[in-house]
Parts: sequence; C-alpha cells; structure tokens
Amino acid sequence: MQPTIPPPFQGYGLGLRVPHYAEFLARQQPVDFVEVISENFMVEGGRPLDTLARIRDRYDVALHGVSMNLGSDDGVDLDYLRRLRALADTIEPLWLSDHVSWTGVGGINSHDLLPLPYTVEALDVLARNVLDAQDALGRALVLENPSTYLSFSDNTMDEPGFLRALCERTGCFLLLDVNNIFVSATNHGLDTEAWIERLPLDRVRQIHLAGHSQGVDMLVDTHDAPVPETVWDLYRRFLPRLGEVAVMIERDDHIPPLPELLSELDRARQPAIVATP
Amino acid sequence: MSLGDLQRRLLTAVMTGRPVPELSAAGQRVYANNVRCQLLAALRDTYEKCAAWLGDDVFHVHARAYIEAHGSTSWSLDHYGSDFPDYLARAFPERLELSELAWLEWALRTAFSGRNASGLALEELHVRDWDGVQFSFVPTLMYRQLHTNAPALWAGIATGQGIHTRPSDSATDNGHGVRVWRHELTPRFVSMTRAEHACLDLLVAGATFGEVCEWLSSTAREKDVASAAGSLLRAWATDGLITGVRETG
Repeated sequence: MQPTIPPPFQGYGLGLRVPHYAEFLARQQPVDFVEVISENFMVEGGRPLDTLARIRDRYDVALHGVSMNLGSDDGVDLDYLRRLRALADTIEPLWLSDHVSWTGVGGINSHDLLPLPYTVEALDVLARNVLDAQDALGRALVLENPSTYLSFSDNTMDEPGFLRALCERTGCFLLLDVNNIFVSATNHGLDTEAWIERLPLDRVRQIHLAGHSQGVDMLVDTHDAPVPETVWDLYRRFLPRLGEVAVMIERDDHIPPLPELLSELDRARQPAIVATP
Repeated sequence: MSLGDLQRRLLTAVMTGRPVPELSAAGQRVYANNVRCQLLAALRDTYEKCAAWLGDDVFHVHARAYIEAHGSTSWSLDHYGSDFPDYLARAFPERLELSELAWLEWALRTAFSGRNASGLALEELHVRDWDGVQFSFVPTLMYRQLHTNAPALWAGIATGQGIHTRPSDSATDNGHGVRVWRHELTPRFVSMTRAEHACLDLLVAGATFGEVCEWLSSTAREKDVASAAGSLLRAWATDGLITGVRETG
C-alpha cells in the first residue's frame, strides 16, 4: 500500500520542551503547531502520553525523531517503527520526521546524528531503509539535512544531489534545517546559494531555525542560542523560493522563557524584515 | 570500504575517542564529544540523587567509566543506565546505600512511563471466597529488600535536608525493603516490611490469599493473622496496587 502523503501546512511553531509544557497547557499560545521529539513519547504510559494527548487537543503536532537510524547498514528497527506507528495513529501528527543520517550499527546506538558518505552505496542503503520505514509507518517521511563535521573523500554526490535522489527514489519530503545548512557549509567551505539551488524545493514541508556554537575547530549545531543573524539571512533568501511550509524555532539547551521564543517566532513570521538587525 | 565497515569503524572511533586515521580527527572529536555528553546527561538525569550524594566530580568520574564499558543498545536514552546500580555496587562495595539509591531512582524512572493500569479500591474488590482469590497488580510495581536507609536518603536529598546513611532498621522490620509503583501519573515508593515482601512474592507468583494467610500464620501469632492480612490488603488497595481479582474456587 502506498504511504500517505502529508499535506502541506503553512504555519509557525515551536519545538515543545518540558520547561514550557505548563504554559502551553494553561492557555492557548500563539503558535500554529508544535513539534515534539517522538522518542520521548514512545513509552507505554504515564505522564508523557497524558501530556501529549492534552497538547494534541489544543495544537497541531509534528513528530520529530532522532533515532530512526535510517542510514544504518543494520536496516530499520521494526520494534521502533511499530511503537512510532502506534504513537502516530493515536496523535495523528502533521507528519513524521527524522534525519538523513545514522545513529548506530551492530546494535550499538551513539544517540548522535552521524554522517553518511554521499555515495551510491549509501544512497541504496538509505533509500531501502526509508522505503521500509514508510511501509511500516504507512506515511511518507519528512527528512532533515543534518549538520556535519566531517566529509568523505569517496563522495560521488554533493548533499543536495544526494537529497534529490533520495526524494526521487522514495517519495519522501524534506525538512530544511537552515542552521544545519549554515553549519555544514561553513565547516566544509560550501556555497549556500549553490546548495539551495540544487535542492528539490517542492519537496520541502518544514523549516527548522536554530542557533549554533563556535567549537574548537568548527561550528557545532548546539541549539543552545537564539537564531543568529547569519541564519536569519539565509532564511530570508530561501523562504520566497518555497511553497507552503511549516516554520519552527528549535531550542534544546539553555531554554529561555517562552516569551523569548515567541518573540523569535514573530521575527520568522515577517521575512521581509527578518534580516534587519 | 563498504558502508557497513565504515560505520562500524566510525562508531568505534566516536565511542572510544580513538579516531579513524583517514577521516578528519577534528570532526570525529565533535561527534565523540556529542556522544559522551548525551550519555552523561542521560545518567545525570536518571541518577540525579546519586550525583548529589556522591558529589558532582566523583559522579562524573564513575559515569565516564560506566560509559566506557557500556554502549547504549536501545533507541531510547531513557533506557540507558539500567546496569548503573550494579556498577555502583561493584565500584563502592563498602557503600551499599549508593547502589540501593540508584536502584530506587531507576525503579522510579521506569514507573514514570510504565504501562497504565487502574487500581481497585477496597470496596471494588467483589470477592465471595477470600481464601481462593488471586490478585493482579499494577505493571509498574517493583520491590526489593534493602540493607540501608536509601529511601530516607532519597527523600532527604529531594527536600534538601541533611541526612546520614545508616543500615536499614531491620531490628523493627520497618525498613526491610521498598516497593515502587505509579499511582495515576505519579511514581511513588514506601518502605516495606519483611512480611509484606514475602506476601507480595507469593501473590505475584500466583498464590491465593488463603495461601498468604497460611504463610502469615506460620510466622505470626494465630490471632494476628487476620489483622496482618487485612492491613496489607487495605494498604495495597489504598495505594492503588491491585488491578484485578480472580477467584480460583
């Protein structure tokens, strides 16, 4: 059976994290959707599922995973996919997303988004896993470009070409993380304009906006700071080329009071002035 | 090199911090640091009271040692650290309170998101033949014997009150053990007597309430049996532990 295609959704949202649960439940916040980390709710019961059910009563929800491990030579984890499908069937999310990366192999999970070489073999493995996952989940996936900190000398494609081929082979959609584009382009000396030009923009369903940190040797995708001007600038340039997309601020560390994030989201709503310092 | 070989080598490199020579060492350092930070954060989150009791620096050293020896085998970071209580028992054989405190934290974490089940109140237990009845309990129920006052230690750390470790109060039987469960959405624990521990063991294994009373009569004075059995039943029902009854007769 063909996986269900997630319809486009135009709106502005936040990554929902524990410190803000109470405020989102106490009163309707000015967002069009929230995104939650799937794995935090792929549990048997208790407070996490109770909270998510009450959130879902008030908001549209996107489920964003970090452990689907789609690029792994191990293949997909059917138990993981069964749990995710059960959650999705209950929550009825806008879509299910995860990353163009792998997290583990040989049964060991690093819990980090590790990079794939952009080769025919890696594309074969990833495409097979994405098709298997979409089959098990009954839904086409939305997949995010990762921040990367190393590249492989045997790459035969660039990242946009790899993503385009993946979309063509699997029917998946894209979550464009603008911060990740900036981090990877800076770390590897790439031209962001050329990067975005080669992307199948009609496949983009969602945008992530986030901050990063300067590490010892390179930029690191830490999600612990406000969206920097460099990322706002890319967003302003890219947004007019996209169709209906869901735009979201993502913060995972040093989480500020909710009004600060809502204020950042207001800036995302006004792309015409988004680059104004 | 095949993708599988590359992934196995790179994973080993980021888990151990010993980089693959033909790939960027700086890039591998970022991934290795990310992995270490994620696993450390998971242990700190689950074993918050242990970290407070041990002190941050000592906890950090042992969390690092645990991570070196234990890769994550689950897709969920919530599952990481299940062997940490055993690790602490080996690392601190003279400080039993540490592994028992860690066990309590793990049990509470497990109960937090365990399977839902509704407990029956005492008046909802419709039983004709109490001797032949079997009980089922909430799936989040965990219990064990303790050798220290780890539950008091947990509470003392949670409230910020100073507390000293001491052996469990086995002389009065009040601190024989602990049981953990989730009542509605809140994980809970209470101290458990030796008698309650034995009765739960029997019931969980499928014994009838009559068999439990027989066991109590073998250990208690005859006239105390009804009172002891009634007290346990009331406590379990009040705590929402009993999810069902089945009459075998």
